[in-house]
Amino acid sequence: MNRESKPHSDPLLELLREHLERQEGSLEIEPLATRIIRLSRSQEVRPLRRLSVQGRVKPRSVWVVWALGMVSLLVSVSVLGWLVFNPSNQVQAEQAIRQAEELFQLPLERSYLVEVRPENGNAVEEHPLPIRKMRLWAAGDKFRVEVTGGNFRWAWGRQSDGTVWIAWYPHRGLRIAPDEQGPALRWACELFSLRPEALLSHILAHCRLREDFDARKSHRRIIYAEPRPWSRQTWLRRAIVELDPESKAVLKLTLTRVHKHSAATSMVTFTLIEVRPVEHLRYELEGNLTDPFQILDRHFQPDRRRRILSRLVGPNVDAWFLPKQSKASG
Amino acid sequence: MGIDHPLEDWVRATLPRALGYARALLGDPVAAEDVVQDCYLRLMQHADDYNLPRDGLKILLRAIWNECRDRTIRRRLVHNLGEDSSYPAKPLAERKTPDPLQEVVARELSDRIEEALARLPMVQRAAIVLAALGYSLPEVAEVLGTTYANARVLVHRARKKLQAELEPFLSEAEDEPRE
Repeated sequence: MNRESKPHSDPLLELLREHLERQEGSLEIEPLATRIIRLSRSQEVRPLRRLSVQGRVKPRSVWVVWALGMVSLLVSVSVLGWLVFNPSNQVQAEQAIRQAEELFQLPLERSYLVEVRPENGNAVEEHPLPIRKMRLWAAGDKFRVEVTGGNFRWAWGRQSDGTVWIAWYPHRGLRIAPDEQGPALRWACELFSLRPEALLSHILAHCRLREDFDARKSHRRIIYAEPRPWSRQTWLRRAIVELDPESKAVLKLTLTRVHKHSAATSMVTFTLIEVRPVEHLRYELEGNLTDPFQILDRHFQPDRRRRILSRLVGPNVDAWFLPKQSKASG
Repeated sequence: MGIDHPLEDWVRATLPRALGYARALLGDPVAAEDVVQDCYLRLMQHADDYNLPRDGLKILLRAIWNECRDRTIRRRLVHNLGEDSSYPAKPLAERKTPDPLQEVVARELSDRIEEALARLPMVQRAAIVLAALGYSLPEVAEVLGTTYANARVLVHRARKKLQAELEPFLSEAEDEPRE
């Protein structure tokens, strides 16, 4: 879809439109278009960042010389460096992950933009949660999720004792005890327990690590993690950790996870947005409500709690509670 | 050009808009080219999943927005700057107009617009640029991955700030006879 912009009745927007279209008109797009098409055809898409130096792809002749040089260099390095380079890469990557892990010990809360995308199968739809993109706040084993749907904003989270709470109105909230939580809710909790804090130690324990040293040129450290052949963990297929080389903070974590009861995989991306001192009260239901407030739970208006929840998460509210609120199997 | 590619026409048709948008967001032509190239290639890898000639531009603008935002966040974290300093203070585009006087006037206006855009928060900049390019509010919301209400607020706030900054040019424009 390439639209023709129509004149605006608003003089400011019209001024801006003219300016932007003048800019567009003055752009010399041919070299970039040719480059994109050529790169796309040659399927050399994966190592794009290696091809690109500050956004400029070198002319073909330079690439030929560069490629020949690299081939000869690679042959000699791969023979000599196989025994040395691989363990060293693993060690350096482990060290970086450990440093990142230490940063998580600081009493800070971190906000991530979380995106969940099914890769094959229907991993997301199997668990009917309103999840696509949302903002996650995490500190230690507690988390809080802010969800925006239309003009309506609500938040939910899990306390240290496993109780899930939902606040949808300044004066009203509800609690779901651990032994009331149904499969959809447990799945959501499991997903948000996969926050980077908890994952780095899992990656260190179960994965083989490899750092992409070329990424350092673009002021990032990128570490690829794949489960070791003898690892008994089954849910993590691969992970990519992007670190800030100076502060060692995790900037982005991309996971491919396999679902427990199906072969479906989904990709979950956590992008760091903000870091700030922890506000512990924000992880409790009361901290998200304004006095005077009313809290619905299994003892107080449980049926109303279910009705309200169905408005927030849709008709499949039964998946949020265990049938007849019987005891959980764990 | 001798390059026979099924999406060649689509790339050439959409590239000015995509590159112009990335430059408006980042203010840095080199970084903008890098982002645009990256986004095109990633999107073309998944060309079978989409109808690119029909929906591609919107998906592309969204990818560019995400990438520009991520870059700005990363840069901010690294350099610990409170403001969005990723946008260079000086505009970088070269313009050619035949009349020297016209060139001076056009350059001044262009500079002022770019400076005013640069002072906006990145998300407001993205919203007002899309609105100016003729995208409706639901489309702006879709590209920015936000709600309709939020998109409306973003455009409104950006508009208000630009209005204040570009007031002299707006009144001049109103005084001039329309062609």
